Amino acid sequence: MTTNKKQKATGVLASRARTLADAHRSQSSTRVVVAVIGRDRPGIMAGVTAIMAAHNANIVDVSQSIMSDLFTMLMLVEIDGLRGTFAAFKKELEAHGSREDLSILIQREDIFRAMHRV
Amino acid sequence: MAISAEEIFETLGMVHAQHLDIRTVTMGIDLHPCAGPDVRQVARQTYERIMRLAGNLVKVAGEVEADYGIPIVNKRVSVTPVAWFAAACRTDDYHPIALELDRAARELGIDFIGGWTATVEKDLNTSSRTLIRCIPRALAETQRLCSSVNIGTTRAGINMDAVALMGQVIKEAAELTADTGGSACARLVVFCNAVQDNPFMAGAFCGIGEGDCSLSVGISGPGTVRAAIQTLGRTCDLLQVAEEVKRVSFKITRAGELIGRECARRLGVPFNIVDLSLAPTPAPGDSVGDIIEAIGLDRVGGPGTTAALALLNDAVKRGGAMATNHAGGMSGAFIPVTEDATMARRAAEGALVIEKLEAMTSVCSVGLDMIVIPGDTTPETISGIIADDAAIGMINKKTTAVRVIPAPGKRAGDTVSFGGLLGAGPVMAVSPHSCAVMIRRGGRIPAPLQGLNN
Repeated sequence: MTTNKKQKATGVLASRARTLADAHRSQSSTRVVVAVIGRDRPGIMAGVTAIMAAHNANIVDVSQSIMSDLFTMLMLVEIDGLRGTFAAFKKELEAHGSREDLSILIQREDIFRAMHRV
Repeated sequence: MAISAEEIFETLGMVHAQHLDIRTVTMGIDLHPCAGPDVRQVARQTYERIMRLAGNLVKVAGEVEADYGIPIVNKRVSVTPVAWFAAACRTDDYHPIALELDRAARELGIDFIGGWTATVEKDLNTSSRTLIRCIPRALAETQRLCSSVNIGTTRAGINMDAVALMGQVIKEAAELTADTGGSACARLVVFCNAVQDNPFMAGAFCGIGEGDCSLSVGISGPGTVRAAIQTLGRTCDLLQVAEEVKRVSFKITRAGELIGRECARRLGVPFNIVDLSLAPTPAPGDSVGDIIEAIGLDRVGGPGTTAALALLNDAVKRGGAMATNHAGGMSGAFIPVTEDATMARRAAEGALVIEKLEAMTSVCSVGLDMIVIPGDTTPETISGIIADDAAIGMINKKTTAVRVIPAPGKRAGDTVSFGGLLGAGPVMAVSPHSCAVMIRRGGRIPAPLQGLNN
């Protein structure tokens, strides 16, 4: 690679790393982690994301895994633009969990950062 | 995500399965501005000041609890030792202040208010004598007031006149509350080297050098520590056990500090300290005794107990100290017998005896705590027990305290239940040999050389 191309590649990599870091840093937005755990079957994600949409919660990131029969999903959700209160949002998610036999646990993001980063 | 799925599930597990909670948020309030010559006016001003400053404590704690999903089990207030700020009152009865403190606590919706306190490590001044004389009635006629007396320090030695007096005070408080098993004594602590910023009851008070108003947090989570040790298995070496305890302590301290700071911010008061104490409750899975047994003992109280507790206490401090610059209070492992289901059970089985508990106090952060003793224990014997634990604290430059309940009409082997967080436990046997001659001598045990460290 020529020096110019190398510099350009390095620059792109650096800027991409910054963008990703910014996307994951909480900065001024309030974010919660929503964990959904339960027996895998169709419609779990659809059910949860529908509640997110109804409350205008912005899903920033999702990761999920299915091991044997167990479905686990983690969502990072911005709640600054929430329609209604956080308490109501939380209550509806938990009620949905009870109805659908899912564990839905909601925890603010800064707790995880505080506990797991030196 | 920047935080891994594993870390997220670890936290969720700690909160939802292992009883991670914030044991208390305690607002410290300086009551010196309430001082004056008229005790009833002082009492009224005390009530008004507390209501003004702590009015939102319960509400804010509830909101933070809902937002973070981590329970804040208790909301409490600690005040300037009454013996200090009531000294200008022209009275020999401080009882009106006790009633107003209790009323404020009731109306705030908090479970305890600490500060019915005197500090008499060198001598008993007039105000302290008044306060101490008022202790039994103050505790008997209130539900939420907590009392403490500091009778020694490494710097001053042990005030044996005060020790003799407190043996009698404990008996009297028990007699006045005989119908509830001597429960007043569950709200009375006798300290050596009391700390100025302890957020836990019954020994909390807003001490020397503190600000007008601040918020401290007492974390807990013995269940999380026990779970971490059990995950390690039974064969890994003790260095690894210590490391794991340290790591978990770091995490729970961080969680506690975050929550405490948020409460302080919303209340508009300075954040004070994090007391990183492992404090048990009677609930299953919330026991410090369980942690000691998980380290590898059949029964807490047997050989190896003191060593295991020393490892635990130090590892908790290490993790906590790394997690925060605001560590304070007692910060270590608590061993209150009736508040810890496993400790109470081992005491009932005879595996854990008072003499072993005394040894344990030399390596943990508290003392002989929540121990029910026979109702006919003499005041001099109680004083002897206090003097013994104070000597451990004085010589080792640490805090020790005694909170014993001589349950009227009960004998060794009986059971007494106080309910709620105060738990239940067996009446533990006390040596029948008398120390009355020594106690009646009075005077002072002089400060040890450890205190002459200038």
